[in-house]
Amino acid sequence: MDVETKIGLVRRKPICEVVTEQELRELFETNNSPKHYIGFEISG
Amino acid sequence: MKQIIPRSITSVSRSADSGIPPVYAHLGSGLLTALMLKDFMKAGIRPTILLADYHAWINGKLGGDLEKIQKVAKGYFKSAFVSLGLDEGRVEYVLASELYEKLGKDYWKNVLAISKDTSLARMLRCTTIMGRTEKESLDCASVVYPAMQSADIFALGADIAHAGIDQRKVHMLAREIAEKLHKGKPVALHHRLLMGLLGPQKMGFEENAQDDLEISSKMSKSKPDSCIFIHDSEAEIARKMKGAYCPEKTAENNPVLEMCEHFILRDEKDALFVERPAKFGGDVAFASYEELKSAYVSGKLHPMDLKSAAADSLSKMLEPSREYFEKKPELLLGM
Repeated sequence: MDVETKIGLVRRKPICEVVTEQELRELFETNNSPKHYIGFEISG
Repeated sequence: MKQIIPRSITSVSRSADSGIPPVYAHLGSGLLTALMLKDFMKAGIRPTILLADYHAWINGKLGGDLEKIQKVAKGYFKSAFVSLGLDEGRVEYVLASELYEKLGKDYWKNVLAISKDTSLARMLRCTTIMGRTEKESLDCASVVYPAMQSADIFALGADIAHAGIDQRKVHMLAREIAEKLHKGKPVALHHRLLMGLLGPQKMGFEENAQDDLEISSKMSKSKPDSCIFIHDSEAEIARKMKGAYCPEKTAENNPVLEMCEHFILRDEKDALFVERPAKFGGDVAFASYEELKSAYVSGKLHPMDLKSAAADSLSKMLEPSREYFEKKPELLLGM
């Protein structure tokens, strides 16, 4: 999958901001399986 | 409609006003996360879900009972994501306190290094990430919370830090700190917050009116009827949707249309089916959100028909979660 397609998948709604898109592009260019994290408080 | 969740469990989810708010996963935290993470995985990204038990403890969730928070984190909360298709193996689950135990001094040293490099005023501004207004009286641990959340990114070695837009301040802090501490600077990824079913609210989290509207209106489990839980029965989903804020011919700040956009009509292959008696226009299907929005705004689709169709679609999407918890009712009853 090319980098632009990957960025397109990440940028889908409701994603409203990528800081920065250039850094995301560089990340995909140098790393095929970057590590992501999302945290959840055990709450609402 | 078939009542899938046993009555005993439904009554538990209704007893939210017993003092301690329930911590059930809802559409925003549960389903939306699952949809986004599945897209990320297609792009090769390895997702991690941090079960933030210490953070919930600091924020006084579940009555501030750490032991209970940890039990729910490893039990119901993790299962909620698994039930939505985020299996272990595809997604890494990390309990925050276990991570800190493993890293020991290295973690807490980073928390201090971040705190040393950040003014108290800035840290206080960051405490809005806890879903509180700055005016509320905070205890001392609340000031540690943003430093911990920044240190979490480094502790996990995350290339991408993802959260709702209400967490923006702490991500920007972490990015600045990363440069100072010579750590990998994470790409920050933010999603819009889903509006609660009760419509726009203004609670004073942010000075900027539009930001405040979005954060205040987010689906909050502290208001049980403002959100749909992922294990809700079909009847419960229909009841909540019926009471949802859904101004006629208006797309702006309309939580029901927002759900159609982000859940029901997310993919090109999706469609929303509306069943109506012939005298009200007969059955109709919408293949895209734009199509739906334009029909709604022009008055060709009545709010009640939209709500009923959306409720049916959401019920179908949440069927795997209902079935999962039907097989493991102890996870819900143990809350």
